[in-house]
Amino acid sequence: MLFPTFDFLVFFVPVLLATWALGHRSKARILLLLVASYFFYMASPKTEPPPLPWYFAGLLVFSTVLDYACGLALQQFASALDDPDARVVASARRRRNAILLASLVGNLGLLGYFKYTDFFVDVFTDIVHAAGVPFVAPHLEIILPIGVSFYTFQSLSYTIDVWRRRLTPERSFLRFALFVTFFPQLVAGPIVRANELLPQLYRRPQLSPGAMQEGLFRIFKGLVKKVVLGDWIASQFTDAVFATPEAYTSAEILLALYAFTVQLYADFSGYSDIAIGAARLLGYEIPENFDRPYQSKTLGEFWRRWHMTLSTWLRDYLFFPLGGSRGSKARTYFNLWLTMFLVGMWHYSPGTSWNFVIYANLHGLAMLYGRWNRERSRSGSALRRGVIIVVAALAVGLACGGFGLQVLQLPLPAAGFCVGFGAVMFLVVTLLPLRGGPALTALHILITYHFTVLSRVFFRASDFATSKAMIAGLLRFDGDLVRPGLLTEWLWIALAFGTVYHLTPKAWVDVHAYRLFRRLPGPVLGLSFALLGLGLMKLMAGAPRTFIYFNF
Amino acid sequence: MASTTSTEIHEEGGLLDADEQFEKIRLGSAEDDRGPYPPKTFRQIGSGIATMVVAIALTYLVPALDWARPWVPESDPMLFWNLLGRELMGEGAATEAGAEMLAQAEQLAAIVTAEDETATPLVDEPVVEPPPKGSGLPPYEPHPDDAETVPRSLELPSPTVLDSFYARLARTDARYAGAITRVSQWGDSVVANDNVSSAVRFALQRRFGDAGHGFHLVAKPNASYRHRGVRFSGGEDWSRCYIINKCKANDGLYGLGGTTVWSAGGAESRWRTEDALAFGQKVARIELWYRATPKGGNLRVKIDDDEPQLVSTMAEVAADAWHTIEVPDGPHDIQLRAAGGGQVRLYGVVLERDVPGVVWDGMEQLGAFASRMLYFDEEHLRTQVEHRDPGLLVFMFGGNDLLIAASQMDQYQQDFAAVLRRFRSGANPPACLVMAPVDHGQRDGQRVISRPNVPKVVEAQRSAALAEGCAFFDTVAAMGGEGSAARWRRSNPALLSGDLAHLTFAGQKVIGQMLYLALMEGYVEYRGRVE
Repeated sequence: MLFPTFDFLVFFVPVLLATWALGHRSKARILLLLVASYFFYMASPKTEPPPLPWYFAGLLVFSTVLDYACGLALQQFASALDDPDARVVASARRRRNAILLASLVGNLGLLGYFKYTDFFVDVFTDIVHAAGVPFVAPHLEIILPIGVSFYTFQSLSYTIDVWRRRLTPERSFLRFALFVTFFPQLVAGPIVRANELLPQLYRRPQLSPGAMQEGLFRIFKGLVKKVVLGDWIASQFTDAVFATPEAYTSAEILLALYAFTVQLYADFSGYSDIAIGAARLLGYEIPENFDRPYQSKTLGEFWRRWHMTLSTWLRDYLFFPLGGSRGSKARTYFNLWLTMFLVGMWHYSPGTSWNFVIYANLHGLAMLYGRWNRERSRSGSALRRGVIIVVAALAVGLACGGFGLQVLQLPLPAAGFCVGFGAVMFLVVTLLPLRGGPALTALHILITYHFTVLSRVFFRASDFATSKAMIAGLLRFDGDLVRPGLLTEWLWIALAFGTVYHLTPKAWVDVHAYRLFRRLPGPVLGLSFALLGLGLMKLMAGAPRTFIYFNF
Repeated sequence: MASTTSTEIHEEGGLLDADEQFEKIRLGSAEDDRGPYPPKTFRQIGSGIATMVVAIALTYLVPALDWARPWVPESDPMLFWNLLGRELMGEGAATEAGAEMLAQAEQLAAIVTAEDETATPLVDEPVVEPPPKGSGLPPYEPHPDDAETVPRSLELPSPTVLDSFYARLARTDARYAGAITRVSQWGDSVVANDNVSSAVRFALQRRFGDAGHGFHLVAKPNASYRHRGVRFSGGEDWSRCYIINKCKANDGLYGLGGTTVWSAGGAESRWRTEDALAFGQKVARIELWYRATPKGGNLRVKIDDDEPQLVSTMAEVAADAWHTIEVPDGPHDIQLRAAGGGQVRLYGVVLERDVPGVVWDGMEQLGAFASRMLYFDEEHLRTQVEHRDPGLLVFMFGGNDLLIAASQMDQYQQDFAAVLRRFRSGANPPACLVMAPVDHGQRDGQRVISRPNVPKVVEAQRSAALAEGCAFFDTVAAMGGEGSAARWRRSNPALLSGDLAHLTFAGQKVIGQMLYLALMEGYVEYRGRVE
């Protein structure tokens, strides 16, 4: 079910009222929310082919049962770990590792099969073709179950925490099942960890007038972001450019990338706002997922502010267990690259071929560079440092050019531009001071923002050929500007608003606008929501697009 | 004195700069249950929900507010469609009907893909001298294709709107000397690589004779431009202006194919007759389409190994012009070069033969909204169409038009009608046919649904076509109606590509075959009526 639909309103209001009524009856409330969550998961608008509810729901049940059972099984051997007999401890450890492995194989196997099988087939085929071997691979066209990337990570966090003895296992199956399927965040996050939600399910939902105001405000904000800045910009402009980049000028392609940057943030953070708001109205708190990411001064900061629940999940469950930054430099760089590579690859959506491999590596390598640049020695011989930086800049430039020529198959002048652009950007970023005033901060923000904007080509393009066409169009430098009439005045305003809004202080909205909002009398709030719904309905002619992150 | 704050760029830390922190959580066993919440908890939100419900209810209770209804029972799907609504709306049967249509399309795909286009070249039937005017046609001889099931018939504003086209086709059918039936088709990316047009072209030529490939551009406006039945190369050095870019000082002179090219010298293009397919193996007449100007340069045309000939594009007054070169009917290699002496500006070439048969021009306009065709200068387009003298104009736009907001459909319909009028502004306009766009899908989670705008665009095109006296082919209905994008995507072989907007090669052939069958149904009806 999609949030900005009449279906959701008809579903949510009765669930809300019933949950409030059952606030003091724990079991009934949990059962109600569990049933509602499965209904939410399986109900959908008119679709063709008809959805496969039992197949999708079955996988959800499988993941739930697997981790519930693993949690209990791990607990059985937990006390043996404290046994004075080393053999008992070793045996218990082996068994616990095997149980953890079962959970990892089950969840990651599910994810790997449904999400990455076609990717590996494509990659294998491309490699074999590159070797000159004719090979036709079967394409399985596997349908990705909605939300599988989210709920598998969610339930894995539980088993890993129990295995690490940072969490005691949940004994109630219903409560555990609700933790896995809690509908506000089930299909597109935020990824809620067991230690964040399960303890709340033991308490009476935290309902108060303040919580209600907070929840309503988040939903209101999320709807505006999602529909106006997310869907509308897409339907009016970006979708068309990414569908046929050959038909657009370089300036229009660049504008489409800026527009997509606004759209993606609005789409996903709008969804997260609605999810957080809906959970709040039900009396639960789920974690924030965004913190004005385009205000980041470095890429590391960007990923701390963008899809925070995924990036911190991989940090806590992969980067730290691998040793984090505690090992040798080489090991630290490897850990860093692998984590960022998997953050990028998590976003892979079927059919996009090499796009996300490139996207993940771009961000992984940029993170490596960021750490190198921060930690490199700034003392000693200036000549030696200068030579190293210039040689490195040339190497980066040549790598960019080679990538453009060989992989993106750009014409020679465009590949030549890549050489210059790569080298110059490397020099600029490397030579910028790490400490300075507001102007320097603004410059760092600008550079980081543009790195995310340009790398979005690989994020949005539906396949690798489209990415290549977009970049070729961008580097055509045809001299034509945005043609009159292509964008309406309202669209320009929405784009400008979306970009500028993001750079304003958070307090303007989260404190000042919220203060005004919470003072509104109930009937005015109700009327505001009705008018907002009407406006959004007319704007999108009753057809909300799917949240982009549904695809992951 | 003002002071500036100096900050550390990395002071807030990146994602992987923090140290690991965790706390141990012990899940409790006792419930914290303190009875119902105090009523004031829900006072504000409760009155808000009540107001919203009343506001929504008013849209159903007050007829004047019906435009504000969030859900319209007659036209919107039932709420929670897949779990509750499908059976309540009796759409379970519709789903089964859709599956049947898919089976039919798959069967058609199996037939058309099995047809061997690389088979022996078509044999030209003997040419018949036409009888004196008014003596009538020979009786219609039924064709095996007449027995085929027609997936979707043409919709006609009156039974005779295509008669002028069918009359030409009947003369071609009778093998009368000089009886060439030309059809010119314009469309967006769905026909960009000539597959739909080539499918109809081959089907008609197999039945009525191959009178040549037809119109071809001098340079590719984009990488997708690719014609079947002619081997084209070169063209990279021409400067070009593609209609949707509204370039060349917006003079509106884009030529029949929507792309004009120019060069002061050096640019080359080459066309060779087909040697692998059964079609397009011969040419007998090459017609150059260009703009004659006072400063027009020369074209050098080289046919096979013959001596090149120079064609001057100079004229006292600027005007569209044509130059025809006759060659013996057979395979040929045609090379064209801008040979200096001024700038030459070209629109395209036509490759034809002098035998009775069908020629189907494919004029693909990748990425074009239908309204972009209004960029054509009216007089120029009229001249171009009149010179080409097609018996039928076919339009298949809409893929890009789906991006037009649903609220602007009235304007879209007017624009579409204006496009039809512009192409038919001559004294004796050809018959015309509008093909609706194919069904387009979009992903809804991991499922595929038809884009909501598809039926609106189809309806606008239908209304415009029928009002302008054109036939209409409902491509979406032929595919199986709403939801066919998903069905065609999962069919075997796949008929819709992964972008859910463009047909696969097999899908294009199926659509071509469907159109061919619909046209032939009308043709048989015409022959029965006039005899």
